[in-house]
Amino acid sequence: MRSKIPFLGVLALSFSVATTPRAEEPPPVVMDEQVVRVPRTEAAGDPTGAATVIEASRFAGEAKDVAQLVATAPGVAINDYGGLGQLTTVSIRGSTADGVLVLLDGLPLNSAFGGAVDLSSIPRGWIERIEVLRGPEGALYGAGALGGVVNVVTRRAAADQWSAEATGGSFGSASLAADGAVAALGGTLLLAGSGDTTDGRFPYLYDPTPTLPGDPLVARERENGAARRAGALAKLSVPVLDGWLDTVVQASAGRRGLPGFARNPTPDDWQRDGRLLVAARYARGGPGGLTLGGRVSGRFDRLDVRAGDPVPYRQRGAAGGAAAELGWSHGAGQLSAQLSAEAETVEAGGLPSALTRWSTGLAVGDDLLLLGARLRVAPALRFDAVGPFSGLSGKLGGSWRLGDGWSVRASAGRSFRAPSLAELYFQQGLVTPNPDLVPETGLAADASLVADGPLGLATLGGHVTRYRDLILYQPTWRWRLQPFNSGQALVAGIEAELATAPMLGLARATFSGAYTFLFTELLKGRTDEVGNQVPYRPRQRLYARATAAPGRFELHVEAHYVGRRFSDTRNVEPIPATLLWNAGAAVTLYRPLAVSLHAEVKNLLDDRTLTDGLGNPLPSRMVLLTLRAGSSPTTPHTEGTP
Amino acid sequence: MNRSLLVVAALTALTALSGCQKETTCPAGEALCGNACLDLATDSANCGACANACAGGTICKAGACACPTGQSLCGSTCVDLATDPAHCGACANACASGSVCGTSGGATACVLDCPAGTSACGAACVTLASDRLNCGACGKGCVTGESCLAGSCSSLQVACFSVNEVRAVEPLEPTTGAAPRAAGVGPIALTTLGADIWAAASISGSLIRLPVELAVAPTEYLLAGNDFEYIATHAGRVLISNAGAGTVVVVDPATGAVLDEVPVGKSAAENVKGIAFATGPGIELAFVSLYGDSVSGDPTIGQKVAVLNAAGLYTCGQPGGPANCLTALGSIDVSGGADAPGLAFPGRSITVGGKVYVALANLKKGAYGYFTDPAGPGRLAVIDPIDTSVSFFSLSAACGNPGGLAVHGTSLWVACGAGGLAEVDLSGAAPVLVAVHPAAVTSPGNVAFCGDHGFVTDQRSGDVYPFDPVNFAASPAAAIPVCPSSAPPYGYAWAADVACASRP
Repeated sequence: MRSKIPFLGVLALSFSVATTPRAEEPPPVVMDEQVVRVPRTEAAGDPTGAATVIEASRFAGEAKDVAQLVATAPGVAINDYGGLGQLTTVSIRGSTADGVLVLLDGLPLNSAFGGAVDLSSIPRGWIERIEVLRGPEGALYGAGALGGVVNVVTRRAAADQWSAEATGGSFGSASLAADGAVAALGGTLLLAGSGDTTDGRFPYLYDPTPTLPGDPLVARERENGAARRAGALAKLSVPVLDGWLDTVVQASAGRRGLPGFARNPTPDDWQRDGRLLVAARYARGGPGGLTLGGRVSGRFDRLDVRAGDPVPYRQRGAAGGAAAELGWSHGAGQLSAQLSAEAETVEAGGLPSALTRWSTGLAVGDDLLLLGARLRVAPALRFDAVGPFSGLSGKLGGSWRLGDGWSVRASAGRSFRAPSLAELYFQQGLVTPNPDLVPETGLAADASLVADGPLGLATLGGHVTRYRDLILYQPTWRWRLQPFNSGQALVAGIEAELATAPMLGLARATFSGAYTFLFTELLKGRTDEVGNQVPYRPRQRLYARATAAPGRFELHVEAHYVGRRFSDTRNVEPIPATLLWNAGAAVTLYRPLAVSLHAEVKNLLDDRTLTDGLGNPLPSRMVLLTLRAGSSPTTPHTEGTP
Repeated sequence: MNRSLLVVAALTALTALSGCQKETTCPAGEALCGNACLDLATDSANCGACANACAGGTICKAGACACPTGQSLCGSTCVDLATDPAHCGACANACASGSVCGTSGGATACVLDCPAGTSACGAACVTLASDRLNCGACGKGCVTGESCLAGSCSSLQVACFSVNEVRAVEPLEPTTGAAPRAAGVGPIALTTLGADIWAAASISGSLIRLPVELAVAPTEYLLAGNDFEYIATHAGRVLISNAGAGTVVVVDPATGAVLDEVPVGKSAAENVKGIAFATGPGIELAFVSLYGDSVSGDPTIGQKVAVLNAAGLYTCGQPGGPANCLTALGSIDVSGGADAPGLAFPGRSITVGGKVYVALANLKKGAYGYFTDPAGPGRLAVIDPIDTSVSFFSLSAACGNPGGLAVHGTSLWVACGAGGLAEVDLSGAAPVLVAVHPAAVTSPGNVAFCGDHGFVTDQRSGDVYPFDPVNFAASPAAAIPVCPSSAPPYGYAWAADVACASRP
């Protein structure tokens, strides 16, 4: 029998399917044409944390990438720099994008070099689900998780399961994805591949005279926005010596044009990237409730960027790590411990030589079930040494089942993010490093009320976080920038989620939504800055989705509202609120092979004035057709609780 | 009920946790008084300490209240012993009724008539051209931050980029200044029009009107600009180089409203900089420098001076006026003013004697891959507005990377970014380089004159160097710090521009 251990840290998530299948699977209810899964608010890595688990199957056929899936959760803000394969980052609870730890099957994608993780670099064809954990999660996921964690979990290796999908549509966009799993060596082997392309030539309306109000906008077409990406994934899970060996290999590469600002196009700029992740983990049970595990992992990154200077900027990185894990099921719960070490080396233009940084971590945590399992208490403590920086991250979480489907959960924690190598040592152009930086920290508390019953699921929570010593790039002479620990901010807010069960009889309608109210305040700055909102942090955000699934058909409509925010610290330059509508329909064509056809319309109202925070245009109305097939009844889906 | 209580309790706890201390950062050398950062060394209302106001006509110097230069303390009041009939030549030495207090040959006495060259203001004999208590007219006094020059209260206005202020200092005593005034974020260029100083703020993309009355608060017009770089006035309009959008913005100074925004060049990469005008019989032109891209060094971007018809400026925005204030006519290639492998990079410009002079930086790629290093001597592109022909004038190898331009008499003064101050004689048929003078600043940026007093800013500090344009050798040895550094530890100072303003 496989071990069933909630591991601390990244490894718990890396191979969670193999080790804790029942704990992570939402209870399925198979209906005529649907698999209805409960939207969960519990992540395996932190059962008492504020979490949203997004099942990719809920959005099958809708051609949603990682960022678009993450955007369905409360507490997040997607920073979309151009759309259609361009840079996309995420911030959680007002954090910087650097302060969000992004994991792929539990393996961190944030490199020691620094910078926010580009969500568009993760092939969407791989995604099984995404766990969004809000709040400082350093005690459970390691240093760097200041604002939270986004853990992208790739497809499960389930023997004899397969799926394939082809998509084509506006702006030369097309994608192919396929995966299949077979029994092998007494276990399961999954192979998946995907490819995406777009020419990125979407029409938009441009204001050539931004200071002149009321004058007509000019129709333009985005140029040099083409993007291509391909990825391959292999997962093997086999029994070895009374335990299980899980291995994974992930490879992806892409190229995209860098179109530049609308007012200053850069037709010659481009970026190429590539990433290879390799990991293996072994776990087995022992006497007295003990379980032992260990893993090794490696990562290789490459990045070439041509931006202005005809000579491309190059960056190469490699990392290798190992960890040992110990679990003990005692009477009241499960105690876990993990010791990990990793070395990472980076070469980049602007660095005189390769930089190497060692990281080590020691984590201890418990998951206690008390009062007849009605009360769950999960203390965790982790020590991280990241290069010359070290610190403690702690978290105390708890949940209490009140009965009748009601429960409350709360947690408090502290975490830190060590300065990146780029922030410390990287000189490029007008950006100057600062070797005197210290880690930035976050101290947070949150609580939420959960109602889960036959009608559906609802959560309502509040949180507050105090960020200290945030690393911000400050001008040091004219346009020259240098990072300093100059940021202090307070973030508080309310997060709400709602998902109904299928209702209205044959229509099988559902409704789901996520609402975020975010209060942010600059605690340090000039007289005209202190007390203001943190720039680019909308105070309100709403995601709402309604579906109906009569017979073989499925229909859905979505609304994304992002409230007004400011682009400056004085709060005098507002970015208007935006409301974006998407809609789609699907029909099952051939049940035995679950063949279905999907039509998705993004930006339904064809708003050609949409821009990102920097004023760059975002895609106009986009129509995508997707044909899917698979071994399981994967489409159409709807969401809700049984 | 219990559940509601739980929610309320949780939210209450979260609210309580949100009570965090705030930390206001002030520019270097300034202190927080209430909600404002103030320079306690010079602020007369907060001299040496918050709320310690100077009285009796004293002003704050080096953190202590003292009389303005040329005045003395009699009791608790500052007086001009040279003219004050109640303290004529000495405290409490009052002139009798019917006599006046005058100074002649360095001697002050109560006399029956004012000495030659002075005017009677009551019983005080004053020189209206220079008396700061009676500047140009009896009773018209200059305030702190102003000097009386040629009968006008004049102030030297300095754009302090990093602290978002415009500071006014006295041209005759630049160490004395008025309370700084806020000017958007990143004030980078100044001009004057009527009774106002106008500042273009680069980062906030805003336009700030600062009345010449130094105590009057400024007005900021948020224009949604993208990287303002230069500001000029013509035909009663304010024009701004909106480099981030590749346009020139025309503003009605009466309302702050944008009248027109005119794209110049192919894209924003052309990098709009200086603006100059030429008027004459049949000529009403604007010349806009297109600097180019100092990152890519693409020679096809910029390296031109765009020519626009400016006839519409006078009446655009008015009923029956033209739809556009400016219309593009073409461009003048100035790439010939560069030495390979450098590029010309035309910047600031000025019109003198019917010719348009444009500073050509002539730069090649330097540190970090940007075009920062002189490729040869700085040059001037000399444009004849009649036929838009262009010739190039060398400022010599001693004047690299020229920037700001200003005229004093028949001399054109050029700030050499690589060091020095070039003086060019324009009195003849062709310009003649008189000298490249040493300036006690690292990287001269922009130049202005208040009467016969010249000033040049430093691009690498907040210093302003006062110089004598008539006898440069008599110039001071050192520059004067005007703009403080932004908040430490990352603070820096940059005196971005300078202009002279006179109060009518």
